[in-house]
Amino acid sequence: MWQIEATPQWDRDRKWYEKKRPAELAAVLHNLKRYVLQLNSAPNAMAFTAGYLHHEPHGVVAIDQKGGGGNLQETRLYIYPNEERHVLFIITIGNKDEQQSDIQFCSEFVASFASNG
Amino acid sequence: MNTEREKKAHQPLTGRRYHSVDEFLAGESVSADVRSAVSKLDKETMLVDSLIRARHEAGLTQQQMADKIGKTQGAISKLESSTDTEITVEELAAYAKATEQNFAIMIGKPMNHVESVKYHAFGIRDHLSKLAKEAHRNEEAEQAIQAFFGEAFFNILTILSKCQDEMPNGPSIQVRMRKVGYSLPNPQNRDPIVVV
Repeated sequence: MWQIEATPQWDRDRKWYEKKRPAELAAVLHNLKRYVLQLNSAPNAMAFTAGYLHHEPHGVVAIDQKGGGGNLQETRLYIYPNEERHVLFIITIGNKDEQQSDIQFCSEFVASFASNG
Repeated sequence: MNTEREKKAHQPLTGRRYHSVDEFLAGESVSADVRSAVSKLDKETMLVDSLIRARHEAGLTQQQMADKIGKTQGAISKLESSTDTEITVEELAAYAKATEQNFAIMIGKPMNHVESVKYHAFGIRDHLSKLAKEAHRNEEAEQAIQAFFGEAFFNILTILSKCQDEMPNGPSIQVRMRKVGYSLPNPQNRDPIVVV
């Protein structure tokens, strides 16, 4: 079974989304649940695909808001499934405009995680 | 590039780990409104999520499932990302066949726990009754069914006992099995099942 741990950045971003974009937050969290279900079902974390999943560089996965209803702003929840430790890190959440900087941020997180263990 | 954000990427983790998303949402104090909205969305994919679990229990990857039911892995991925209203009966049947499982679908108002226990209890009674009639066929059938009755009796009592332990007043009802089993075929030699 995979464990889940969040970064302080997620905690800050989540609070903003709770106030400003609760429907988008609920949609990505629902898809996160579905992702974890798949993760616990698959022998290899990268062995499955889904319409709401986007594989980003350095093993980062972005979960979007698809299935959460119409008129939702494009939103991405960035996570990092570490297969070695079986820990799913919830890194941050952002919209389409912030995508590049969010991916950069996630890459930094993974690099930092790899160097510090 | 956002320099301030890069610095935050090097911050230590929270150190709080959870075994499920529900536990995570509660532990990280995600608002009740958002959690309620997540639960509402969960209900829209209960059936599809059951199909994913069935595939997993059958030890099949998306690709293997695709091969079994004559679809592409992409089609399986799409199906497993969809909502319950998008699933067809044909797809349900294909999953049931490929995973060698039976799917029972209940449509309408969900049963509460008491209704659900009664529903299943009546179902168990009906099946046991049919088995008892089958036992009249021959001695071999009687032996097998009698052994199963003993096993079922023990299991049902064990379930009740374990659930009673979870009650606020704890294990106020004690069920102890002293002997389970029968010396068939002679019905007169049956050891009794004793419930204390």
